[in-house]
Amino acid sequence: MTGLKRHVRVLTAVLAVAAGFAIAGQAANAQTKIRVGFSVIPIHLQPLIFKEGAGIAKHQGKSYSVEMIHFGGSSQQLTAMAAGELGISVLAFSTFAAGVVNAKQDIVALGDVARDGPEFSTVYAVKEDSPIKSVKDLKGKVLAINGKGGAVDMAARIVLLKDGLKPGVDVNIVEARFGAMEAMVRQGKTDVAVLLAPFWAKAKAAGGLRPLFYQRDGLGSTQFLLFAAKKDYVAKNRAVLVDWMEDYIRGTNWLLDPKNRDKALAMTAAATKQKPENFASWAFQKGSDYYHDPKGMVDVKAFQSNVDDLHKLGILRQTIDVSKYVDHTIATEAAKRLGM
Amino acid sequence: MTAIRFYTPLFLLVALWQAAAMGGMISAELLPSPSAIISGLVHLASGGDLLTHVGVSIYRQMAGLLLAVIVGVTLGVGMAQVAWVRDVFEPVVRITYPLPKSALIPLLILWFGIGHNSKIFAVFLGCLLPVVVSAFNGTRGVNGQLVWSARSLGTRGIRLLWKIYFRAALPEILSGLRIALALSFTLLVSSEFLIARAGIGYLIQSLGEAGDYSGMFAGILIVALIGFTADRLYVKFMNWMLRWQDQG
Amino acid sequence: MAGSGIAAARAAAPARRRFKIPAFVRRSASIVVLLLVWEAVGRAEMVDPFLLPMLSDVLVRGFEEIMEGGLLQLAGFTLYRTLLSFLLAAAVGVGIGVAMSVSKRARWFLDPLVSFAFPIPKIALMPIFVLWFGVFDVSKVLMTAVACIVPIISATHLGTRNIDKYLIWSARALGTSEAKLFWKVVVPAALPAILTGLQIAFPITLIVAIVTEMLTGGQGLGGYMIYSARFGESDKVFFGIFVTAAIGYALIEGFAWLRRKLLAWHAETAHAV
Repeated sequence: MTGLKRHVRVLTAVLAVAAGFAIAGQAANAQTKIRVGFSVIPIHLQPLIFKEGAGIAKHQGKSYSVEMIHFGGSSQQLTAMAAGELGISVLAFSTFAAGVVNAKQDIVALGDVARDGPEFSTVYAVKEDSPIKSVKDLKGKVLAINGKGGAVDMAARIVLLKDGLKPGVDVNIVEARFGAMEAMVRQGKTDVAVLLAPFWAKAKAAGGLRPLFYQRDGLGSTQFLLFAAKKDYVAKNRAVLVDWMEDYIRGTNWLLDPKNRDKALAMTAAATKQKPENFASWAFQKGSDYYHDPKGMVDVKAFQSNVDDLHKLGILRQTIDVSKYVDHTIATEAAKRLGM
Repeated sequence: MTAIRFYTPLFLLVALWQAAAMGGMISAELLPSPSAIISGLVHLASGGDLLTHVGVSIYRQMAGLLLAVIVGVTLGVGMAQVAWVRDVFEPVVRITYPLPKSALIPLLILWFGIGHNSKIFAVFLGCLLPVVVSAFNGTRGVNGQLVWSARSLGTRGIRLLWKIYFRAALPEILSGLRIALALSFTLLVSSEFLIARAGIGYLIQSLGEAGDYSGMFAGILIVALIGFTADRLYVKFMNWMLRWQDQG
Repeated sequence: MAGSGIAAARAAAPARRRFKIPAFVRRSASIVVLLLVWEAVGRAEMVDPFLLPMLSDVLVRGFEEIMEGGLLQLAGFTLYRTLLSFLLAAAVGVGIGVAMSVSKRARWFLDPLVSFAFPIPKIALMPIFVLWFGVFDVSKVLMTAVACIVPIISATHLGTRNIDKYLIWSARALGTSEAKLFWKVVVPAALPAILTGLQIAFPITLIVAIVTEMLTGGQGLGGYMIYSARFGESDKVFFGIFVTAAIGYALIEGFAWLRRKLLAWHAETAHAV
């Protein structure tokens, strides 16, 4: 009798303690707390801009406070947003479209995070001495991408199809992590590797690799990443979000100002716990870094074309009219306040 | 002296690795040499908030493990002794255990949010089976004669459970706990990979994502060192608990 | 209550009840209840179907997926890699574990290494495995084997270490040869603990096999689930979970059956309910 009861009591106590932690973690706050997602710094600028004590975000700590949360990828951000755990997410255009079409989420795109094409475009690289001189030579070769169905995969498929090669049949497409790509192509584990801006800068400095084609060859400009939020979340927090967006736009322009580059590099090194030299050769620099819109606007034309391509490649079963899902009112008002 | 003897194999391996790296036999891009990892560790530690990350992680790991031990031993012993407990819980444990926790992320977010609790739960779930299985197998394996003679001596109820079953099952339970302890670190790191604000798993993931392998391996080294220390302490504890076993 | 529980469990076998619910029904009741709750939560529209799609939708979608072909084949790939990795890890792991118990020198060398390697999140080494062993099956199988070998070594060593010294001593005194001693005394005495280790490691093998597929694509349930998740198709993800759970359950059940067969002589089987 007593034995089991004691067990039950201990168990209840432990569960109660756990529940206590849960409640304490959600203690109420006077300011509006905005939870924002991010992945790789400094392709994502928001962790730098809203870093406490950085002094860039003027309204932070007044009308709102920000909690930055790291995600491995954008599909997890869509999930967290659907569960009401995340206010503003950073989604790839493909995740956004899938969120509308497949997950049936009531979401809008609020602004630009990064674009591929206008400045840096992701490089599909081969070894300098590789017999592959043009896309046609890829027949029977191996091409590594980061994940099936993403922008990198789409661009590769379009480029291959243009030259009459069937992806997956004529060319073997495999998946690997971005961080491992350079070593894989150098050691011949793949014939083509995909290098994002930081990895291409490093590979170029080391020599021995050359670009075969670029992401923009397949997709044109890509609305690589954008801020997204649920419609009802935007309606409820509009005033605060304008403050937030104002700070984001101001911060973006501050970070991209060549005058501030050294400071921006130091901030990036501190935030990533990496050495500053990992960023010096490419970050916050025209041509070698991704494009960030100075007014925080989504490139609607590019976005539409990207989503159409998703549908054409059979990845998404229907396309959407993206203009219905882009809400620029917040970014416009914020830019106006900044005299832009 | 014994300590030196004990650690020699580790040193040997590290020396071999360093030599292979210096001889160009291992690609430094993906597997940095021990010296590069140490320099990465120094760099990480110079940041200042490394201890916060470690602290957050240890809290999650300990909380998850503790829950798993309490629930797991109770369930395992209960399943071995009470038929309906076994009927109700065994299928559930068997079905949830072999699921990759990363596939359950939507549910974990839904139930536990994106803070500590979802990670604690992931650790709990992953550590549960080793504890349940060893407690269950250990208790069931108790020699019938032992129980029988204890009964005839008038030992009953909870005293019987404690004195005979629990103690006889102890070696196997403790060995299950050792596995759970080690697993908890792995589970913790992978639970912090996907969604996190802080923690050592978050550091490992973000450094690996950025291709900073000396930093990433420094993070892994920290986990390994903490895990190693915990395991050594646990082995000492286990030997103390089982001191009666080796005598005689 | 616990005491009477033991008594009841004891009495259950001989003292046949008048009306006995079949074991199959008793043992699936909790799962059935869980599945019903899952469906009910969906029907009551308590959660966003994106986060938790209704069971019936998941099953319908899964049926379509199987009919369109492919899914069962993917599950086959995963199962094949899981079993291959497990056999590899079991063979090597049990060998190392026993060696550590038998030979002092092996223990001296391996004990700290095992203790150090155990808590390392081995999946983080996946890129290196890909670099060494290529992007196809070999790297996945080896990664999976490495990730699950340590629990096997640890459990085997702990199991064999605790073999009753009297047993060996008395067998030796009776003039049993060393080889015979190993097979007739050491192995049977260590078998329960070794099997527990393997039993614990088996599901880990399945998990790691799926995670390697999630990381490096390729065919298998892991690739299927991660691709579906990337495109917000949670009904497919949940069907993947469903299939994984079924495979995992079958594997664990099969293993428990094997354990009963192998340990028919042991105390734990003698008074099994």
